[in-house]
Amino acid sequence: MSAILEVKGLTKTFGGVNVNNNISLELHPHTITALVGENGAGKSTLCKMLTGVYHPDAGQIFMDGKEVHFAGPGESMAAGINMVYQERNVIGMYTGAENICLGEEQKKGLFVSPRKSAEIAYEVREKLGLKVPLDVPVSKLGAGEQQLIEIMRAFRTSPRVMILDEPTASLSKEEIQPFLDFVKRVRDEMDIAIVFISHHLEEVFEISDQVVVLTDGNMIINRPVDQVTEDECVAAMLRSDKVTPIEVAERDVITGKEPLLKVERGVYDGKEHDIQFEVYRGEVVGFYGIVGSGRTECLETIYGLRNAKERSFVFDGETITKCKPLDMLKRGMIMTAEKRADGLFRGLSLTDNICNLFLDELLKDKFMQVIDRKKAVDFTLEVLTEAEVKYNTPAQAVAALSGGNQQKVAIGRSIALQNIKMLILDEPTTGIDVGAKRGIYRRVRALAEEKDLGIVCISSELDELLSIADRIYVMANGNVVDCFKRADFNKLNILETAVRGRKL
Amino acid sequence: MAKKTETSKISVRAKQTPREFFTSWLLLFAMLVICVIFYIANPRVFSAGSVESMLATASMQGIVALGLMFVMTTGVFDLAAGMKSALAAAIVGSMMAEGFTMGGYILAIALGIAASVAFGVIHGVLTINLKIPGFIAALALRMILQAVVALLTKNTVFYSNDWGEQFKVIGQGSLFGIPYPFLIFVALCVICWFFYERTRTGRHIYATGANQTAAAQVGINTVKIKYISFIVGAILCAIGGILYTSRNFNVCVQQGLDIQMPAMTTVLLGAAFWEPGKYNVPGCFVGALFTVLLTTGTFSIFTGGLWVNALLQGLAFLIALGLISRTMDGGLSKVNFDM
Repeated sequence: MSAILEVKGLTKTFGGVNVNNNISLELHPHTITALVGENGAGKSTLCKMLTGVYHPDAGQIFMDGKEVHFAGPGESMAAGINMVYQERNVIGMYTGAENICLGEEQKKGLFVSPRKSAEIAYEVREKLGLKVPLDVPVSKLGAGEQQLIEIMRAFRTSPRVMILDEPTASLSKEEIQPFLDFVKRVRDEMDIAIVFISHHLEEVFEISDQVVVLTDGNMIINRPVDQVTEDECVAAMLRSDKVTPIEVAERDVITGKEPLLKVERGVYDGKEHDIQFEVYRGEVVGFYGIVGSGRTECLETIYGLRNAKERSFVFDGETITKCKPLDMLKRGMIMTAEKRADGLFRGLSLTDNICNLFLDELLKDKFMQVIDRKKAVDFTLEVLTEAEVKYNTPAQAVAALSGGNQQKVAIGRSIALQNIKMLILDEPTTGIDVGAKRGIYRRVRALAEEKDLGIVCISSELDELLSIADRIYVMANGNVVDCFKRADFNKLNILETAVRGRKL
Repeated sequence: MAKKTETSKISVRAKQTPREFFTSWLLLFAMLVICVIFYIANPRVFSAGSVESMLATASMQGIVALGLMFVMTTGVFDLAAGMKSALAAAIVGSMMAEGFTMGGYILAIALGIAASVAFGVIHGVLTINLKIPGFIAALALRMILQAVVALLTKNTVFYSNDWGEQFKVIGQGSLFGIPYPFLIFVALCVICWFFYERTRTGRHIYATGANQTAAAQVGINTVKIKYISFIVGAILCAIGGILYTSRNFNVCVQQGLDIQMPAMTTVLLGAAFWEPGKYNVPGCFVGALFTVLLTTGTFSIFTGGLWVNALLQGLAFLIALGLISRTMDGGLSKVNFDM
């Protein structure tokens, strides 16, 4: 069987980093090719080159043996390559039928005919054997059904290649199996090559015919599914060492001590989550999991940022069931936001950014609430020096600093809290260069070892956690599934736990 | 594979639930109830002259609202719509001279509309190309337009004895007792409804306003669509403004200020009618009649009706918007205040 689509030596570089390196593969009709890899392994970049969003730096793309160059998504779509993105892209006020025919509204004479559009849409639905209602505004449908609407839209023109980007991410547990069956049926009945991007190895092994594993932009595995095992995939997904580990002596801060934080239960986002874990003083606890595993949600619940129907945990000897961030701040816990932009006031000065947490202490006059300028500037300088931030003047905007220095401001400000006991860092090193990362790691270790803080670090980079954490909790599907101590750190086991979503 | 569905069995749009039906028609029910109350309180509200006046006012306000709706559908809260309409009127007013032939009037009106369109395009450049938030750009434009209108009207309530009968008749004439402005309003409503619902461009305007990413993904040229909205919107505003001047036989800065709020109320009230949560033409039509009726009625029943009118308009507004947010899943998500 000849390939519908073939790529040879596809390479793409962003800022000196090879995001895709010399990738060659073939997509055949009646075949599901699974594209597997960690976050940032280059899956999206590869797909965006196939759909014409990016242009390859080197390499060729062939369709039916003829070389093609796509200037944009429109051209690849016309050639029969269609992609359904992870995010939902529908017009909520339009019916399913109108969404399916969006951009290609059917006309009767001069005017658009809703009935003719609907006929086409129902035909597509019939062809795919689906049952999603097409006559109600799609805003009334769930995310899973909206996704099917988008898939139907992609099938309006008969596509040759269909790329599904993490299609199961927006589905509930009950929806996943019928969806996988649907994809299999499409493969069997239609002359089409399917690319299925997923983090979940079980799904991959259930439906795919060919497995492609990308790691750091390199294609490590490209084999038929019966010639590869899940273990091989996990091993291939492990990143090459990017992080030079910092020296962490093995210490025991747990035995015989009371935990600083002991989480018992949490009911949020509509269901009960199994989130039992402890944090002790003087240790760095890592939270690892694939994207969407619920790490941020879990810790936001503890911090009081997320509304929870029920929560119960012990912090510093006090049992807490209701909390808001301000309460937790007063108790000595602080969380830095996942996106730096959410945690800092970009347009405001360093002084404002640092002092706004401490305005009560920096008042000149309690009654009139006047801030003591001098005290504020002195305090800022103190924090900046302590945090080793590189800056020009405390009056400069925080946005003018580099990413690493911004992060240092956020952390430095947090630990200046008078009674700080616990610090939660959410992805503290995203978008920071390697040198700055090491600076953050050292700082985090020092805070735990010297200041005796309990530190939680959420990260998607396993190497980072292996380097700085004393213990690592692995989360999957919103639950804490396992805990690894430093002595038992094993990259393979941790990653496997995360992608399998259960204790090994 | 599966056999083809019989086309006759296809449901294009699902039947409304009783609750949805109630919500989507509520504005009209409310209007009928108010009619009855006003009629009992003071039958003169519905005298022939009063009805004629109400229809004409609602029409001028409604046409500007239609124009405003085009811009608001793509996500820009246009505070300059009223001034765009006053600009067109001021240009027509200052051009007209004694002994104008029919051709002269048409030229003047065409130039008035063209001027409004020019500012619509400038508004487009500011928001689409220079990425200034539409709301802020509108505020600035409104000031500049106000200056131009003041200049053209020589800082007065401008009118001239040179304005001929032909001009007067479009705002003040009537056919079988129905004022011309109302006939024009109905015609424009029908055209606009067809444009929105039965042309590709119209469908794409809604799509672009609701989800620009999704629109771009299926190959819709969202920049072009937004420019079309700004231009069509400016044309409608101009027509409304010129009618206003013809009817009142004067033009001034205040005209632009006066029509802005009622037009905005009309569009937003309209989003609670017919297809709640979406700016729509039938809503604009009923919304315009509703607000004018409320104003006329309260003023004729209460001496010093200013506060009663303001209070009732405010309450009607709150109830309408409250209904949208309660019945729509995402609340008022489709009523954007910025690009």
